[in-house]
Amino acid sequence: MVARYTEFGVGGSDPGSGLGASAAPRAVFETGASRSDSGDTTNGSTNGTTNGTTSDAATSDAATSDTSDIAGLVDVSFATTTDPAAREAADLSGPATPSVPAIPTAPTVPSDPDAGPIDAFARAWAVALSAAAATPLGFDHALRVVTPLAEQVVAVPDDPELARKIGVQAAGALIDAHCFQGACVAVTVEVLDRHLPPYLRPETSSALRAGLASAFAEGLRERTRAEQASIHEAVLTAYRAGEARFRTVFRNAALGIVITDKHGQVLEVNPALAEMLGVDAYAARGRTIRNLIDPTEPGEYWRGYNALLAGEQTEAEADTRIRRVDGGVVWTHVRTTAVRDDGGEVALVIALHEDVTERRRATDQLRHQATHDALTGLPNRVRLLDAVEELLRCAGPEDRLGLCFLDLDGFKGVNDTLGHQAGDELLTVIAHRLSAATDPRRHVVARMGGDEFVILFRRTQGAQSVFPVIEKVLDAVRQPVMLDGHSVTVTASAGLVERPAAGAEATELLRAADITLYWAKSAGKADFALFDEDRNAREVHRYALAQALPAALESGEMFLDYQPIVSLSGGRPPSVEALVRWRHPERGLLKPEEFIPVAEETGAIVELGRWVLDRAVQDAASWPDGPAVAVNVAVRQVHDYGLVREVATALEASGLPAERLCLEITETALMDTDDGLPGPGTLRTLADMGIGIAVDDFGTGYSNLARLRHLPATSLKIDASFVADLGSPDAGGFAESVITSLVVLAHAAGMTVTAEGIETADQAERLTALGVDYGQGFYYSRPVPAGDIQAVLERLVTKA
Amino acid sequence: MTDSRPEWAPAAINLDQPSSARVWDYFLGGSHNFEVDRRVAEQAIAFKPDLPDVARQVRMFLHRAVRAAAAAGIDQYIDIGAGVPTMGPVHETAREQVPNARVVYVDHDSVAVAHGEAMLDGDPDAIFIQADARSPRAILDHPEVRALIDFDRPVAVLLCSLLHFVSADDDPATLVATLREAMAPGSYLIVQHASHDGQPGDTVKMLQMWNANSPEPMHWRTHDEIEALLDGFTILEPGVVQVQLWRPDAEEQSRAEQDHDRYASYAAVGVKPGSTTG
Repeated sequence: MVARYTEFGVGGSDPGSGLGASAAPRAVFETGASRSDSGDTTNGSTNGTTNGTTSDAATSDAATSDTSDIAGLVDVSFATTTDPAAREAADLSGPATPSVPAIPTAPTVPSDPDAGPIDAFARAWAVALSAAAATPLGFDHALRVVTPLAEQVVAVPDDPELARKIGVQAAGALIDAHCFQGACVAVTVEVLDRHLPPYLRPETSSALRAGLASAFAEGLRERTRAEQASIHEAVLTAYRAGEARFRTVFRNAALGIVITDKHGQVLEVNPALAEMLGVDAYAARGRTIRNLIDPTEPGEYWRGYNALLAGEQTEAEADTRIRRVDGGVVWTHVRTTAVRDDGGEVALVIALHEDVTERRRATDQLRHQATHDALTGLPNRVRLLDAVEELLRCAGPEDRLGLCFLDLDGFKGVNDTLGHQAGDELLTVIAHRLSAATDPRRHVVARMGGDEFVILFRRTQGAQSVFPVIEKVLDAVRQPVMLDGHSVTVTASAGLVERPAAGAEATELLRAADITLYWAKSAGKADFALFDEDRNAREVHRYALAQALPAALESGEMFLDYQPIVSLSGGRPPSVEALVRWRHPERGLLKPEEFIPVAEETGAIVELGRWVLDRAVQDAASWPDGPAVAVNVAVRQVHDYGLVREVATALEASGLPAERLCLEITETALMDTDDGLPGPGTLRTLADMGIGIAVDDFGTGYSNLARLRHLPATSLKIDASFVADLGSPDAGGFAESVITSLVVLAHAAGMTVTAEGIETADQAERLTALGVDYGQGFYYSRPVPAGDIQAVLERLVTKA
Repeated sequence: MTDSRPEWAPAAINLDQPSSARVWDYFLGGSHNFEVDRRVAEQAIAFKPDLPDVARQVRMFLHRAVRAAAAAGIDQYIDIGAGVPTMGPVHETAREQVPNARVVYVDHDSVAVAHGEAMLDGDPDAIFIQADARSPRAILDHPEVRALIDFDRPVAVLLCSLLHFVSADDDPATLVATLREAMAPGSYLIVQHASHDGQPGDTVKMLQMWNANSPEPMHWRTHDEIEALLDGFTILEPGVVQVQLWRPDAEEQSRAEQDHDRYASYAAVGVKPGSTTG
């Protein structure tokens, strides 16, 4: 197989090539056999006529056909261009520029272009390169790169200098094509070795290889330098871009930012922080952080900062009050971060300050609103309790304190007559006066609500020490106030508790002062009362009894005794009065006067009265042909709509005739009520049923004699005090006159008269003489249990 | 100590950690890389000696796929995860056939972006933006992207050597779907994705080594998982195939078939169906 190398010419048209002066010998020669690696390159020996369109070249990509077309031409520029036009120009110039010295040893062949051998050479080279290159150098691309080189190689004259330059040229082409691997040079040398013209002397082929190797090394170094430079430039650019972004954030951030080094030296302060602190951002640099930031709680702030600098923690967060240069104060929320270097050492500390002054102000405002009274601006109940608790918490063992509850007398009247606006104005004036009459260092004045105020006294020296202040306060309140053109005078009542702080509780103090205020009000207003532990204990005791009463009824602690009522003239049958007793499990036997008043206050009297009625009616019914029974009925019961029904039910259930029941009521119960509750009407109904109605304790109240005639009462009971006076040198005469008058009146109104508390025969005789119908008292009998009453009555009847 | 760096501080340009973009450049024989990149690259090569070949094959696939898109007349390209595109970048390859092709390169690595910007200096029709592919909306809504790319006309989106850096938690399917919704019918999606299908143990060790050393761990997927990522696209022939088998050049064909599993990587090109309105 014969492959004929094409005509090869070297022109000098390109001064930039370094070969401009080279001779352009036309070397056409033949080799004995193709040593192409391209096994499929089966060029026939008639290359001159087939023009290179050999079997495999039928893939006929552009590069191959190009090569075929220009086979035998020399690219004088040695450039890697594959532009056919350029090559054509070179071809034309080649023969016309015989300045390049001919190389005598190169056999020249006639200009008979034939792509065959070059094609095989170039294809082998391209295949080897595309396999060796790390870059994605496809075969087509590789072929485009090596074909012009192959053309030059096969035509190289036997001139070491020219050969070296071709080697340099080839190296440049490889580098340009990103064939950076050593393998690319290796395969190139191998392929070249097989395709170098045979006429080359060893030094010529060596020169070519040397040129290739040195230029490749040089080119690769240049290329590597360029790429390294470009990647470093890219890093710098990226840094700068990042830095620029950071600068923008830093300058425009609403957050105040300060960056310090690990010694606390300020590296950067942004404008926002500079403004917060009232300093110049530029001048702040280089100062120390302690010199820049002036926290109002320095200990706490710098402890955190030092922990960061010491690397003990990485982040810290706190609300800090910082003094501005101008003396103002700014609240900031500070987040501080320690930035560490690669070795883990703290390199920078970055503190972000968020101005939360407005937020704090709003919070403070809310807190003030929550702890102060909107109308008067005084502390409210919450704030007062806090103050009391704090005082108790901080009190020494000997410390005392006082608490005074104060309430306007008749405030409702002002509101009702002058309107709420005037009422509010009055409260505001009073609040001012209370503040003015006290000392804010020692006293806290608070408004509890409505017209109630409290004064807390710190570190008192006994109750006496407080009196002057209270008197001053009450006097201040008493001064006339101009409201809506009216001069209004109000007074205040006050309750004071003063005691050692030890063992005191805030709520207990408030309660005690409140009770004492109530005492003051009860005692006639416009004055103050001092808390009295004994009185309180009594009230507590009474209150406890009232609370326990309903349960006592259930558990049988209550029972009835009966006291006979005898006919003084002896002409009529005796009756009995039911008297309630309480056998208290802890306090023993309690008399009615110990628990009846409190039961009346609390309303428990209604239930108690109902129980007494039922019990007494049942007992009386069990006494065949026995005496009538008198039962005490409280005012509240008379005013209760259910009384008539209860009485009727009790009578019906027991079978006791109505005539044998008498209800004892007080004078008060006879009065008409303002609020339309039942009263005398109920009594009349009961009287109409045949039930007796006795007016108890007659003569002790403001007895309305004129009304006596119209009352449904059947009997008057003369209070024991008149009976006790009988026979006395001073009052005896008056008592006799009263009794006489009452008897006359009662009899005139169709009522009988009963005297209570008869203890002596003399009293009995006198009363009998005065015309009193019935008598009751120890002279006849003490109250006795139900079971004994029959025997007692029998004895009395016998006696009479 | 990037852990303690506040979020607002300058973006980290950490040359202590390898960047996949620069390691890739090293595989391709480039010198746009640093010692740390080369060290990790060499460690990886120790486990899988033909890694540079993988890089080369991926690049060649990219060229073939871009040529296929260009042959179909696509004149807009978005190369997401472009890295340091030195040899035959998309705009050069596409413009062989479509001279006025416009190209957006996207990478999250600030150095790659700076490098790419320098490369594109003065090219009015190609830009390089910094964005994270895991936030596709940031790319689609980027004002420069909007200015260059007309989403009413077909566009070719390249996701080469990208999706295997997206963990399941970051939901690659939704990422692709978000892109798909923005793409006009007739658009091309060019995907290459690493896979452990048919790989020897050393390759898997290489992956573990990479994941232990790189801030950008890889998540290799199976053929079927990768195919599922092209949901909503009509996959062009020859389908989801080993990267070197996607329409290889005639000269490469036989070698490509011999190297069947060598590149541990699948490639596919999909077209968004529907009538083109562009």
